[in-house]
This record gives sequence, C-alpha cells and structure tokens, in this order.
Amino acid sequence: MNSETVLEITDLKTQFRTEQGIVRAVDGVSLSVPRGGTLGVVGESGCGKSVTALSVMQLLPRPKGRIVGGEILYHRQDGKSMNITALHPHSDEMRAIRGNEVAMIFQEPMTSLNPVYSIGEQIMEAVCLHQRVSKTDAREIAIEVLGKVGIPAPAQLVDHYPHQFSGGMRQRAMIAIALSCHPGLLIADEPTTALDVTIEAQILALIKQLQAELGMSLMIITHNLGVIGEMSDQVVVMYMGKIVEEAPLAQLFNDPQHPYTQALFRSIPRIGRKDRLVPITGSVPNPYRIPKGCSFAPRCVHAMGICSVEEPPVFALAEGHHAKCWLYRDEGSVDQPALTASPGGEAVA
Amino acid sequence: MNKVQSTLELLQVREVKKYFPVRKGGWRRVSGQVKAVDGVSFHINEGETLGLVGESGSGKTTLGRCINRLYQPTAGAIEMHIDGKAYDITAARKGELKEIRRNIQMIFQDPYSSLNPRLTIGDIIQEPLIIHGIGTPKERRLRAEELLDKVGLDKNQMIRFPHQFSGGQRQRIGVARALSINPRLVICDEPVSALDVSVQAQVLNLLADLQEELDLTLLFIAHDMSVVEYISDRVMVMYLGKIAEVASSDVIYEQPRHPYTEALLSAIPKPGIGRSRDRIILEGNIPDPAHPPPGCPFHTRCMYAQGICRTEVPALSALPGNPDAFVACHRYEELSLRGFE
Repeated sequence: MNSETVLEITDLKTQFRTEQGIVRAVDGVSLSVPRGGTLGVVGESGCGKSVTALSVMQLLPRPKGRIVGGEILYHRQDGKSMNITALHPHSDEMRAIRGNEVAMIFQEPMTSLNPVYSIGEQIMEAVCLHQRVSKTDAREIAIEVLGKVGIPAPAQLVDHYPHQFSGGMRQRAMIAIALSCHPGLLIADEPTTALDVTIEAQILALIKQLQAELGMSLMIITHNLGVIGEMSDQVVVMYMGKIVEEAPLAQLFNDPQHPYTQALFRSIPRIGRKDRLVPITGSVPNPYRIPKGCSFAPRCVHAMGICSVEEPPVFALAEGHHAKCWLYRDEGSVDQPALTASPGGEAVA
Repeated sequence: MNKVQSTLELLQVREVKKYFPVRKGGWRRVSGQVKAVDGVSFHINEGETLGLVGESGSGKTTLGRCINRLYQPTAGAIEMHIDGKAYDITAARKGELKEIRRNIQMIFQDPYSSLNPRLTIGDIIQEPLIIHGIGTPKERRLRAEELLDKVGLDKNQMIRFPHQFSGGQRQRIGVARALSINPRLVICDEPVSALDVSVQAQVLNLLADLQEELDLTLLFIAHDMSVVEYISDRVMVMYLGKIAEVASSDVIYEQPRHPYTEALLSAIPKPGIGRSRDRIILEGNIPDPAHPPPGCPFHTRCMYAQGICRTEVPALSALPGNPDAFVACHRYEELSLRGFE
C-alpha cells in the first residue's frame, strides 16, 4: 500500500438517525494524512469535521450515529494496513488502534478528563491498556510524558486531580495521555479553542515540537484559520459534510478557489486591514433540509443555474489543489483519485 | 490620570475596585479577597468604541458589570454624563439608577442563555420599553418592528420564540433589545465569540453600522485581538484586574508599549510562510487573582522583568507626546517592543 500516507479516508459517509430524520453529517469525504505531516481540517460548526474524526476513532454515539459507507484505512509504520470501517467499535482490533495507534485530543479538557481520577491514573490507564508493563513502570511512563509536555515537577503533579490544573495544564495532560502510547497519528479536535491566546500559543508550539520529536502525523481540526495557517501542510475545507476545497497551505491562503473559502477569508477581521468585512449572507442550512445541487449555492455570490440543480464534481486545479465547484468546469479536469475514489479503493479515472 | 480632552467624555471611571470575598471554613469566614478589578481608571468618549481585551480572569467582564452596577464596586467612582448632567453610578439610588440604566444596555456573549426561552421575540425586544414605561403598547410594537428591520430580521418573526433562531440571529435579537430604549452606552461582552466566523462578520458589521447611524458609544469586551482592532477606536488591555495599556487602536497594534500587549499580539496565530518565527510565547498562566504577585502583576511571565518590577506596582502613566496613551510598566521608556507583523 501507500507508505507516504498514514490515514486514507475514501468516500466516508456518516449519518445520524434522529427523530426528525437522517442527518448526513459526513457525506462522501475523502482525504489523506501524509506520514509525518499535518492535515488541517477547517470548517464552521456543523460541517462534519468533528464527526469525521469520531468516525476514524469509531467513537460515534451509538446507535444514533453510524458509518454507512466508505472506507477508512490506517497504514501502520510496518506497512500493514487496517480497514477501520470493517472493524466493530468494541472489537479487540479496534481497541488496539484507538488510543494506541491513533490518539485524539478534544476541545474541552475539563469534560474529557475524569474528575475523580488523578492525572497520573488516567495516563496509566492508557498505558496499562496498550502495553505490557507493571503498574510501577506505567507510573514512571506517566511521569515521563508529563515532563515531556511541559508540566513542572511531574513527579508531584502526577497525583493531582484535573480540578487542580489550569485549562492549559489540563490540555497538556490530555496531550500526555494521547502521547503515552506513541501513536502514529494524533487527531486534535479544536485543541486550543477553549484556551486563552497566550496559552493557545504554548499548546500549539508544544504540539509542533512533539510532532517533530516523535515523527508523528497530525490531523488538526479547527474553525480558526490562523491555527490552520500556523500548523498545517495540507488543508481541507469542509462545508455541510463535504470537502469543498483541498490545497497545500500556501496555495489555500494566497489563492483560494472555492467561493466558500474565499468568503471565509473575506469575513475574518485581520489586523492592519481596516477595510470592511464581507460576511457570508444567510446562515448554514438546516441539516434536515440540505439544498439540492451544491449545498453552498444559496449563499454563494457566484451561483449559476446549474449549481442548484446538480452537485458539482471535484475539479483538479493544480498539484494537490482541488475544488468542488462548477466555476472550474472549463478549466480544471474532473478529478477523481484524490478525493472521490470509489469505495473499492480503485480509482475511477 | 489627567488628560486634555477635546471630545466629550461620556463615562469617567476612577480608581474602581471590585473585590470578591473568599469564604472558607465552618463559619464561612472571609479568608481572602479575589481582586477581580483592582484600581482601574479610564474614560470613554461620546461616540467612540473602546475595546477591552485581556485573558480570562483579567477582570474585563467584572469591570463591565460594575459600570452598569450589576456589581456594586468595592471602591472608586464611576461618573456618567447624560445630557449635561453628571450621574454617579456607584452611589446612585433606586430612581437615579433606573435613569442611568436606561442609558446603559448590555449585549451578552451567549445568545442562547441571554434570551428568555418563554418569551416571543417581540416581547423580548419590548421588555426594556415596558420596564421604563416608554410608549403605548402600539408604539412599542411599532418600535420593535422598526428595530427588527434595523438588525436585519423580518418583522413577521415577532411572534416566534428564541429557539427558532440561529446563533447569529439571536445575537441580532440581543442587539435589537439593547437598542430599544436608545441607550447612550452599550456594553458588548464578547458579543461574537460564540459565533461562527461567517456569522461573526455579520454581527460586527451590524454593530459598526448601528454605531454610525445612532451615534452609539460602545465598550467592546473581547479576547480576540483582531476583532477588537476591527471595531475599536481605542484599545485598553487588562491584566489581573489592572490596566496594562491604553492607546488608540492604530498605535497599540503598531507600537505596543507594554510587554503583555506585545506578547498578546505575538500569540495571535497567523498564516505564515516560514512559520517558525521568533514568536514570544509566555510561560505559565495568569496568576490567581486571590493571590496576586507583589509588584507588577505581569512580572511573573514578563521576559523584561527586573528588580523593581518584583517589588513596586507600576503606575499607569501617560506617554510623552501622546496624551491619549497610557502604559503601566516600569521600563516602557527603555524597551522597544515589537508590534503586529
């Protein structure tokens, strides 16, 4: 298989069954995380970016949430590949991946840590689950990773409880849990959204430093384009459960192609530029009533007749740069392999 | 703080303190004080937007609440000038306080919890009018319709309930409610931080337009430096209950004088080619406001701290040549700090 990617998602479809109907939270997402590199996933709330991450971890709330189609391949360092979608969430194989090969850190460090266990015990839990070590050794490992994530005096603080930690320290503890088993891939879901700017800078620098040290791959999910710019190599932009644009970082920032990406950039205030913001008109559509055709068409300034009739395919614009928009019908070649390969894994040309 | 002011001052805050008692033990004895706001002096001019930034725990929300007396300040004076008459907010009694509050309205951070779920939008917007006894029912309804139109909502939505609206629309309702009684000062406490970026721009533009149209004065509290820069004329930076720096927004972003402002600007994540810039990353956390460090509150995290910073609290002093800029740092004259690149 491919040794250059660590995670390959192909045409992933995740749905939630609710009383009001089916929500297609992730609707045909294909992406890949380069080995040792960073993929940034950006989008507004409700675009399906977190659900994509939860699908990879098989942590969807069941029975409501379900992966109904597509494939998630995790390529291990030793060349072995595992199809996560084929595994049962409770199976031993999935448990061996979750938290061990692929680890995740969440947005709210207070609610994702257990308040009645000490930080050390929570790290040891992960270590004991995945490695054959004694409790004393696990404690040593816990102290070591706490030191690595910059917790002062880890030998003492290992016995502290989450409420004794500040927000930034809790997020460091979360990172310590995630790193305790040396994962090949770290998924960071809005890791700094709940933190103050100065603490955010600390955590981002820490993640980057650890990534370089451990040779880990990273998938960072955020709504903040600044964080994306700081961290990613390759970026995908999501809207209403679909990827609308994918590009290398510099290209996305210098030359965004999809109207949604362009609109996002125009709507953020940037220091030193006092010109008026151009907001995106309207709001994100109701997930039960997704518009026909392109789901961004009702808010798009470039919308044409075809946009509200037929969903646009993905057009390749440049190396690694794709946009799902009818505007590029004439310029770009309809591109399949990178984004919308068939579930069988064989690319449709 | 002495300053020559050509424009009219709407609000004058002098040495305001707000301490919250910490109670401990079996008899709930007061064992300490959380100094949320600790001796803050500033003014807001008529028609301007003053941006107030700082990390969580810096006291910015507490300060906002002292201004409309949701909290009674522990010490200090807040004076508001309404139609040539000066009101002392900290000492105002019932009737006077109501008169003051008619002129100060708030827009809150969370558009979900700040609207009563049992009232229709029309009732929510009319409530301030009813409280202050303004107009007949018909006039009030017309006023609500006018306001809905102004904030970009359909007047037919008057009979709907808050849950039928999105976050951005709810924040517009909050704006309409705040404007219903023509306040002089609107305190916006993190009004866009709960919103998505695309919607955030809508609300920011709305506030900017309404300010121009209605000649509003805004105190805009936020933690996002770029949002504050977009909307503010002047920016005030708070740290641990004290003002670190005040200056016009053009000046403060280009040439910060306080090391904390410099660090805040440097911490803003930005798209960078060659991203491993020499950015300033502050160590540690904001100290516990119940046990603030002696001397300059920022010295524990400041890379320029010297002996004097650890023992003496720096005074907020006016910058020579710029009567509108103030900084509380012992070393501001010798330091040359980096602005936003």
